[in-house]
Amino acid sequence: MKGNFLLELKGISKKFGGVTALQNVDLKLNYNEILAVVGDNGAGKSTLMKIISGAILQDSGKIIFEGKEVSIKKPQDSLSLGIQMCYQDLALIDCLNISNNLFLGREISEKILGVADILNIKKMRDLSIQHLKNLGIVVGNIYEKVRNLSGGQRQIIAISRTVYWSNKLIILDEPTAALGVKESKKVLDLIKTLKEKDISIIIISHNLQHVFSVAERVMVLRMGQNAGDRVIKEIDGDEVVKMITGAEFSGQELLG
Amino acid sequence: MNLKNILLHSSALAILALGMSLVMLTNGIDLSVGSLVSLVSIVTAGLLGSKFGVLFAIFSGILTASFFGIFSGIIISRIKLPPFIVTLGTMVITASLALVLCGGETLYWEKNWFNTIALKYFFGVPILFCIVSIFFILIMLLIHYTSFGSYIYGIGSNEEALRLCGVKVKLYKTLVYLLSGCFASVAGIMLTSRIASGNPIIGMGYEFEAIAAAAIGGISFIGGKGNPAFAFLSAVTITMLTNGLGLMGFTTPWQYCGIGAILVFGMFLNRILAKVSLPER
Repeated sequence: MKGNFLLELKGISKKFGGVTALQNVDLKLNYNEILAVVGDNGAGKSTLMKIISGAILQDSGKIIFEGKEVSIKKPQDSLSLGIQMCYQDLALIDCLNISNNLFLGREISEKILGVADILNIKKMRDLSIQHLKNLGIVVGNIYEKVRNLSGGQRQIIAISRTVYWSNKLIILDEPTAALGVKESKKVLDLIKTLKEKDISIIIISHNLQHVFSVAERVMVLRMGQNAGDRVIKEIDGDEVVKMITGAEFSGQELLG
Repeated sequence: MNLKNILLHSSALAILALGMSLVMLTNGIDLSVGSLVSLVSIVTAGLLGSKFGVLFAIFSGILTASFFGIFSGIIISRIKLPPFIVTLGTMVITASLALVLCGGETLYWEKNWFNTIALKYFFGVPILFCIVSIFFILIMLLIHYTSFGSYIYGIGSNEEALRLCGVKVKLYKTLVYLLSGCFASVAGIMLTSRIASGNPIIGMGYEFEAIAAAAIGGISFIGGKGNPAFAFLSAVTITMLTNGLGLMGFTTPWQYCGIGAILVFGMFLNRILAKVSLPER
């Protein structure tokens, strides 16, 4: 293994105009670990993840991946490192079909006449069907446009794409937000199977129940700053809520 | 006889409509195609009068329009200015360049094989329309069977999502404007051959007709929806309409009036047909 941690963030700061989204945030992720990042709305969770995936650029701070300092300036950089992120709202392209979406940016094509790269639509379709079947996802028609799918189906497709291309690290932003009980369980089970494949996972969630059922460690952000980093086994929901809110309320009040 | 005429006359508009529909699928618009046609006509005609030869003249025409296509494309994709404003600028620049280069006069050259391109027929089909059909087939292949094709739809539908997948969005956006410029040059060269002269205002109004053809063909103005094949067909239809109006004795200004009316009516019809056949889920 290279380095002590798979991913290490040191002193990440980011401002949007006058608003400080992240201030001196550190993060450490072990090899083959499931880390949950929690925090209130506007705590900077998504911003931090987008910095790792190259969707936005940090103002200052270092990113160390497998013991080496890396610069992630655009999405291509993080993808080539083996980081795959599933965005909450920007995952799929509505006017393309499921198969196209699964292979977006990594289409399988063949050289025809030595010049033109012609898509191998059949191969992509077969692989898509196979992959979705392996994950136990049922879709009527692989050529259905994503626009016509329900919110939950779209999310499942987005997650399955992330999983399909998973390499070293995957980041899931609110993977269970639009899902029903059954589908949520499916996604959580999926996360557990990924861990067996030697992949590290960062999951952002508001749902502490889900966090406690899959994550091994929880990292709390509050108003753009580190507010705690604990092993799940040594902590209960009450304490996490206190860290999230800054102990303004007791967990009992919020959880009822 | 008249059908041949329609195919011959629709060639330029059909290829412009193809280029325009690609641009519109990416949620853009290219207003410069009309004046690019004029500029290419002047550049090509001017060089045909020189001693460099026909192929060099054609090549220079294509190069000129491609340059302005890339120019618009780079500004739109890198500096992120609205396509409407950027191509409006390119439109005025190229229109005035065309006038400056020819000094406001129509250019003629010694007759050579370039003049006969527009007069030749291949099994009764005008050569020009054959050329356009080849481009049509290539574009259909591009749209449906290459990754660039899916990216064109992707840029129009959700550009940010595409970027986050690691696709070089800026490159592909520039390429689309390059293609549109290229197609404008092909249209310009075909028209120059047809009228056997270089005319600085020959392309006037073509951007409007191309946009109308794409819109009537069902290409969405917000991108991501539509098929260039229908834009191609509606370009032929529009030509048929103007041709019909011409036969009925209406002059060119009245024909424009007709296209304007058919644009609004066609969009209205599109909306109704969409409601009847494809209920939104």
